[in-house]
Amino acid sequence: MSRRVAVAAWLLLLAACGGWLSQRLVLTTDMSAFLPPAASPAQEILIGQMRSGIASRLLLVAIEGGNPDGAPRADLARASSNLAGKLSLDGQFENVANGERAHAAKDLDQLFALRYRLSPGVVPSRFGVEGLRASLQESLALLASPLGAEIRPWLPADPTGELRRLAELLARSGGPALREGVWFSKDGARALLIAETRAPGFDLDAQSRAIASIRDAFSAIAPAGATLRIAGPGPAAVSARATVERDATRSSLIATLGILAVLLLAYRSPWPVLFSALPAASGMLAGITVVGLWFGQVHGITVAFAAILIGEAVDYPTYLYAQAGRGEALEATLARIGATLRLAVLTTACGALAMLLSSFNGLAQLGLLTITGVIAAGLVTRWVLPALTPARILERKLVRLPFERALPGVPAPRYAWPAVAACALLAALAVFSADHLWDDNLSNLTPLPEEVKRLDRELRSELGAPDARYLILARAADREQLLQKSERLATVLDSIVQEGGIAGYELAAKLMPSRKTQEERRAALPDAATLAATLETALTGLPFRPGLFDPFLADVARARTHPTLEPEALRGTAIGSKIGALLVPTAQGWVALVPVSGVRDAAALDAALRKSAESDVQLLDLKQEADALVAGYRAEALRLLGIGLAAIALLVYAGLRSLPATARVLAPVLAASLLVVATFALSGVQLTLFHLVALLLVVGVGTNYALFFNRPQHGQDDRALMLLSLGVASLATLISALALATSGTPVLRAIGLTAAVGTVYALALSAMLAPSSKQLKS
Amino acid sequence: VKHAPGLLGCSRLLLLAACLAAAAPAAAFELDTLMGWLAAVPAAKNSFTETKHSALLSAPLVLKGTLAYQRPDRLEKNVLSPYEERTLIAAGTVTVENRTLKQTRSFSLASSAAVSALVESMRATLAGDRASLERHYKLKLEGQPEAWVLDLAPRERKLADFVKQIRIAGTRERIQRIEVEEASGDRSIMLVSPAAP
Repeated sequence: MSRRVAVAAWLLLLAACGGWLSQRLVLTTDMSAFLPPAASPAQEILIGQMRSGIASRLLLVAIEGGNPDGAPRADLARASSNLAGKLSLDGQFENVANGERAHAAKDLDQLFALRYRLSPGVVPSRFGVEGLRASLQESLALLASPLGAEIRPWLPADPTGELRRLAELLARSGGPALREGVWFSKDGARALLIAETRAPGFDLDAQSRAIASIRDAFSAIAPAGATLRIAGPGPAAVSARATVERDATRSSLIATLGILAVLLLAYRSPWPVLFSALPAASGMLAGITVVGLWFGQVHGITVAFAAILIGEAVDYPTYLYAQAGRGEALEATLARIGATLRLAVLTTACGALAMLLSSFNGLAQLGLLTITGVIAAGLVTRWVLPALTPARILERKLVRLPFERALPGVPAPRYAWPAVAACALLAALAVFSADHLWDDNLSNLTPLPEEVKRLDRELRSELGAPDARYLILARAADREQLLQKSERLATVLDSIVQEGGIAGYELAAKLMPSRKTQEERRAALPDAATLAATLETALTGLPFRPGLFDPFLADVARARTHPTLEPEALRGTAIGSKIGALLVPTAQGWVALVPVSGVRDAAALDAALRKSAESDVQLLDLKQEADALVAGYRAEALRLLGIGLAAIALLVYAGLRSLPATARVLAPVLAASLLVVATFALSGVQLTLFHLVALLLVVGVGTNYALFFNRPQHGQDDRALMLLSLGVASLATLISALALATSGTPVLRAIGLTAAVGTVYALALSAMLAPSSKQLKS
Repeated sequence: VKHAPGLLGCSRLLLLAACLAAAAPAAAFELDTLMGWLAAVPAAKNSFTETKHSALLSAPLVLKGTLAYQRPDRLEKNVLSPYEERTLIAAGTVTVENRTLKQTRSFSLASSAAVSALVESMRATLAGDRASLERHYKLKLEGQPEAWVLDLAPRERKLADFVKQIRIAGTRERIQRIEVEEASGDRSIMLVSPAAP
């Protein structure tokens, strides 16, 4: 390839990548990209709900302001009331709740209109003489009680109290305590609200607009000394996006500046530094573009990962420039080290190839980025740099580091092998005896700061939003069948509640009866003449004004002709969103999610459900499902690591064509990996998938070091230059790894930490196990 | 002599002034004094007659029973006729046991700001808890220690939607009459007497 063609092609591709990125780049931070594909229908529902289910649309809002005496502050309650009022007028929210009755007025009116279809109290006996008389006596007592004023407006049309029954049904079990008429935390320091956005949880722009609206509304009404806090999946994702973006920018900046400083120190001239940046920059640009083209979008974590790539890609020109002998043409240097350089690039790419094979979108992105990036950087180093680099700029004398002699403390090669073998053995022992080697907590994979997670946990538990460890799934072909099945399930669950096996459960069918049940309720309502006569008899001796219950007679008569209620009619109300959350259409039919709280004995509950002989009813332990997801994830990561190692080993053998030489190159790398894992095990850092991914990178980079140490060296000068280039290259990798290790995002921190520790080990072990010049010559 | 009426008038005026001066402590009968007396009562048991006038009823509903109070927040209203119902308010929870209908229900006072404020008007008065009363109501005290009237006007609209005014009358540390005027025009008057029913 002629030099001009190479440079022209390079410039053209750079322009194309830059143009595409500036126009089409779509960044995402959807963490489900780092979730494995669901292995079971239950997991599919779980992940679907995490992404777009109603739970993903809930904003948990707290108005905080401590009170020295621990009593709830009336001004916080007023603020809650005002905020809820403002937000319910805002079109972005489907539903706003703060426990206030006045606030549920819209819901109450709707419930009232539908009471003869929704209330479980509608049974024939209630409309007989006995039933009616009992209801009327109860109403009289209520009227004279402190509740009288509240009951009074509803009484003439609802003497049987169906509205009260519905309100009780809707009241959350284990929900937040009401104080001053609104939801408060147990300690009385926070007034609590729930706002449900219309936009799904993964629509981050809409979520951040909704959050901003809440903040604006609050700032207008905020009482002195009160602060607003918002949690929930949406705000968490928005903050995660901000963190990842900030971290990615910061890490790249630190890595770039740090590496530039190291290179400047090494070359003592700006020009080689400038040219050294070209392969890394080209690699990043090409990598992100290819990922964007292939996947349609680029994950924020992928971009942040690119910082590591800078460190790796800067190594290639360093090997070239630093090893260029004094006054030697770069082409001549390439003739000496070209094969080793090629092998170095290909081993890193090979390690990443394993990631590309992953079934997780996120990992595959990291793999593709690495492969494209290092190959592009390698090609630019091989073809473009020699063409562009003016001969003069390398003439200045490179800094001389004291690498020429063996460092003090480094054992002689003949002791090094047994020493390293012993270390590796000890490391292996530490790894295999570690109790908590793996972090199996799914939530630790999210890039959320601990503080955000804690707020979410606190508000969730205080609001009684189901922590939902246990969930019953009921499935049926259509909605009516599912509701009928749910109603049968309710009788089973009610008896388990009675026996104390569970504290409670939530079921869509309790709020939305099946058509069959609605039909039975309609049949329970007597005709107008019968009801009027029955009421007359029941009223005997009671002091109600004559004609007072005419609205009741009219409403019952009307209810007898009402069409069957479908859930769609309840959209936009608290009851409607609850039904929407619990009743989900899937490709195979309908699924009812039944969160169960206070499970005393999961096995007994499971057995009771099996005994009920309902088909397609299943108890899920969500923690177990999530753990299974992570375990599956880990198994795949280990498999990928194995594939990556095997591919690297084959490649090294193909390049060196000697088993002993291959062993010499791979031994320090494998020992270093083992030491990294042992270091984490001993220091209590639990391993996640991302540590394993970073380990693949360490293997790739470490192989480079070992390859250069094992390359035949011609004389002391050659060896000194090799050592210098390795020193600079590893320092560059270390800097970019450390930049990531200080990140606030757990995923990036894991990758950075692994790469940093791994680089040090790999370099040290490669140096210790390196053959002397004499051995290489022979 | 001619001036006698004038003198007499003068002396009467003086007498009146003296009387007024003597009455001044009574006029200065302070809310805090009353609250202090009420707060000193550790427990009380009384009988009551409550008459509920409502547009929903063809005749007033008359309830008879007993009222028991224990400092600071336990209140028991026992209706004996025309039906049997015991309402216990303790530590923010209301438990209603209707023996005629054989049913018991309980709810948290906090579930409704209005109901809570309504119950608090009685509880806080009995306990002499001025701070709590003033959180919900504007207070006006009239009369003398032997015959005082405390007017409670709701501060918040949420409460005013249901209750127009509460008027509590008593003598020294004893409450004799509670009249609740609802926003709907319904009215209930509870007469409290120390005699056992």
